[in-house]
Amino acid sequence: MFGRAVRFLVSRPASLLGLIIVCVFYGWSLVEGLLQFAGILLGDRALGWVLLPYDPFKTNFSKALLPPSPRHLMGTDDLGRDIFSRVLYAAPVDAAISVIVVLGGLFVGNLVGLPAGYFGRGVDEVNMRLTDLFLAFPALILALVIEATLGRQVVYAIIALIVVWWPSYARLSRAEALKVKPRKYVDAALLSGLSDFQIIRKHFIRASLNTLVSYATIDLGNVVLVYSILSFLGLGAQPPAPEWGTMVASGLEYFPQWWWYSIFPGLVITVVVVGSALLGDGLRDLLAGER
Amino acid sequence: MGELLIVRELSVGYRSSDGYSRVLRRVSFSLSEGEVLGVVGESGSGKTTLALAVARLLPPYARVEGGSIVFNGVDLLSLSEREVDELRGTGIFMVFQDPFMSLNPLMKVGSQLVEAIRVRCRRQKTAFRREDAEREAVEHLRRVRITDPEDVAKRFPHQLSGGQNQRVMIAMALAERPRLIIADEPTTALDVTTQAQVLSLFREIVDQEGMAMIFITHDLAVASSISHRIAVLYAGYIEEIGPAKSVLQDPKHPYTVSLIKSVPAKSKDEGKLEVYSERNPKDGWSGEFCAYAPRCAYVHNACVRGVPVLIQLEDRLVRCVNYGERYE
Amino acid sequence: MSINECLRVEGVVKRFPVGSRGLFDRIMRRKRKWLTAVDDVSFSVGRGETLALLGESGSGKTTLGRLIVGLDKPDAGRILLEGSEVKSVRESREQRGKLQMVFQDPSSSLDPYLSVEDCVAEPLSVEDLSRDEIHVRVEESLRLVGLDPSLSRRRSGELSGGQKQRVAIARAIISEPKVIVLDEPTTSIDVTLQAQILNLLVDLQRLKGYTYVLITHDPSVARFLSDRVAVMYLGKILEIGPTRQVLNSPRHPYTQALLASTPTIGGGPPKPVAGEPPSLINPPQGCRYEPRCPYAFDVCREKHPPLVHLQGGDVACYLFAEKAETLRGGGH
Repeated sequence: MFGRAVRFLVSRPASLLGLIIVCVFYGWSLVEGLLQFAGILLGDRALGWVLLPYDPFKTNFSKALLPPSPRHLMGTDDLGRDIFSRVLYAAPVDAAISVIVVLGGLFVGNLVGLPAGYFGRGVDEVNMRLTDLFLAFPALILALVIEATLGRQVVYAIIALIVVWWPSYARLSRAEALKVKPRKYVDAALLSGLSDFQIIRKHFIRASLNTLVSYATIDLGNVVLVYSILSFLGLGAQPPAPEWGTMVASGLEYFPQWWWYSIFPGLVITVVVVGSALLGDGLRDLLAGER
Repeated sequence: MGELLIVRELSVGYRSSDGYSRVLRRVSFSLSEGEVLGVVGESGSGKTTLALAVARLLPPYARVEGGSIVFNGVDLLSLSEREVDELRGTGIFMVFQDPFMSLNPLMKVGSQLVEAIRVRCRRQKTAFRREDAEREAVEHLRRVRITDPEDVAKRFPHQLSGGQNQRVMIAMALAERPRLIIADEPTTALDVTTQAQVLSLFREIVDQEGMAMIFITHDLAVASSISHRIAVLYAGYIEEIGPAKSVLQDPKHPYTVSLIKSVPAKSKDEGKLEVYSERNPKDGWSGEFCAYAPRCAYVHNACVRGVPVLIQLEDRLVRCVNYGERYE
Repeated sequence: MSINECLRVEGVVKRFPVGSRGLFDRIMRRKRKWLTAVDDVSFSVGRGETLALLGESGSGKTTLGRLIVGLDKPDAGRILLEGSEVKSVRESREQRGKLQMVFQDPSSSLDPYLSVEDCVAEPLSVEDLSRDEIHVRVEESLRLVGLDPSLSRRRSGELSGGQKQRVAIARAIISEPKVIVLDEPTTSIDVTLQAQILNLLVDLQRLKGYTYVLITHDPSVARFLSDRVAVMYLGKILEIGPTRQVLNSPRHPYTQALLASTPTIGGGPPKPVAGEPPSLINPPQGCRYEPRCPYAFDVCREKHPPLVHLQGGDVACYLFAEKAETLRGGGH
């Protein structure tokens, strides 16, 4: 079944591209992330840039703002640091955050949406009005407010993003629950003596995730984008830690003469967003065909 | 009174993500005015495709591989889309299982009937006057035994029941005066008592207006109650076709036999019902021999030597080697 | 309650609210409209017997079926299974598995994501059984319904319609139920497969002694499978008696019309019943069938006739009111 899914995605150029981008992004982030983590554990941070062309933190003013070349694929920044190495070093953070936020959003969203669809009436009203409340705020503003309140740390950014993300999943999972509810196997489960909780767990979650997985995949890229925006605005990782959004912000004052400083990190963000969108689209087609 | 509709060697296939599948195979039959042909088949037999093909309503992923559909002397398959549009309303009227597919949910029922009358007037090149048409619309509603027709004419389809909507469809047929009605499972979703009303109405207008009708159903009893002739469809082939009475009282093809025997006619104390194999037509069938062979109770070697042709037997045609070994 | 009685339904009523009621309606105290799906229905079914609830859509037969197994709660009256009251599915632990249902649409009956084994084993999930024990029971159940036990590993969504229905039956019997409600068990299956399912149901009943309540609109299925038939219309039982009697010599005008309307092979166009199907929200004040009945007289418009007991069956019709009195030996 997994093999068939992969074959399907590979057969279409768009989703193949998406698959490649996503695999490269998360694959690299996994490897690099583990290295960085091991580096912290073992007390030797240099492990983090073993695979990188240059030390992402080393400054060298004589090499500041060099244009892209075979030695510095993305050029250097105002402190002489190799931008390509910094982009690579920053990847795991975005990858991890995107996964955590999407999973968190799915978890909370289903927790709110499935019972709303299943029980209906009072539960539905309460849950959905709660969802509407959160949906009423523009995502970015809500994230900003939450983080500004809690503090400028990555953890708080994650919380803010999960708060912004779960309502859409709540709506979607409720819709799925409404589709499943009238099916007779739900009645059969009741006759078998299963409790409502057991029924939701056994029959509803799978159906919900089946539909939501394609949205979630597209959202991976969207979270990277929003987190980059947060960083751009100064609410994400703090310097000198490299972060794509922050790098775009820093590079702005050197734009357009030293264009590569902002453009390359921005380009990488775009590629990840587009890649996950293409993959998500492909997944949606795959699952739609299976019905 | 010649043949109104002559279908010859019609073959249709569908393209899908899994490939290509043939749904109708060299189907041939003819239909005269005032005649009802009942097309009986299970799901997957191709019966709906046949209806759509004659009505020129096939979806874009369907392909007509060959054959001809000659209606009123014109081969429908040779016409362009525009020519077909001009033809519609003249000739062929389609009734679906779900009347909501044919009725406009945003228009009052009376207005839709008036539109149908306008189409007929344009085709017949007679003058159209609104007041006359509105009166005529109410008359048609009364004819199909709708109570309070003036009131119903002012309502929308969703305000009426399924049975009433199907009767509105019949009223539309009366208003448009087609020469051929194609009905695809028109009573399947209706209650038995409502079904009886709709069936007797169909029969009435066929008899009185001299229209021809193709009535498609999976229910042999329903087909029996309204058809003059019956065609039994299996896996895209016509397996048996002939006068309704004789096909039903003395079925020749093993599939027809199994359809008739499938209706329980006794109580459990009198013994078990006879059973036929469960396999899907596509299981164990390569397309090179009789399609029904994998399920047939009378199968033998000759059945797999090739695809049998339709053989003339008494008053009908049968496709079975048990009556003569001739192959395509 | 007699020794042989398995299921008893007493004066059951079930109503559903019609339309949604927003805040405005509540403020304006707009009266809620109710739809009476089951209107004071009583009968009993003996152990190992099959009672058919014969009726068209809107007759209340499906609602009654759900009430019997406990999926819904009656608004009035009660339902007794071997003497104890049937509670709603969420309320009773002891009742679990004793009442089962086979549904009309096989595709909706099974969770397409689960394996056949998981589907069939579901009623066992509340018992404390090991995986091996469950597997054995599932295999046994599949064999009983005529399926190859190796099917248990397949995903239920991959099966054909007929196979799915058998799996649904296997699931229903695995908990050793006393009563099985069969809701139009063959309606959504290809006609050539109907015979197999019907034969299977008969065999299982003979083997295990299940009590069946068969919900159907098809008299020929009722004739084959059931011992007694209850004809339902607009939530009421109009006629009830032994199958042969009700279907061969129907007494109630509606039963006669229903049977005459049913097309048969070799028969001509059926004789239609006059009038429209009834409104469930505003039922007729008197006899529910009166608006369409060719024999209606004045008393029929006043009050719905009670079920009277005649020789070989009960009928709710004023045509027979006198007969009943004669049988009882004189008037009141």
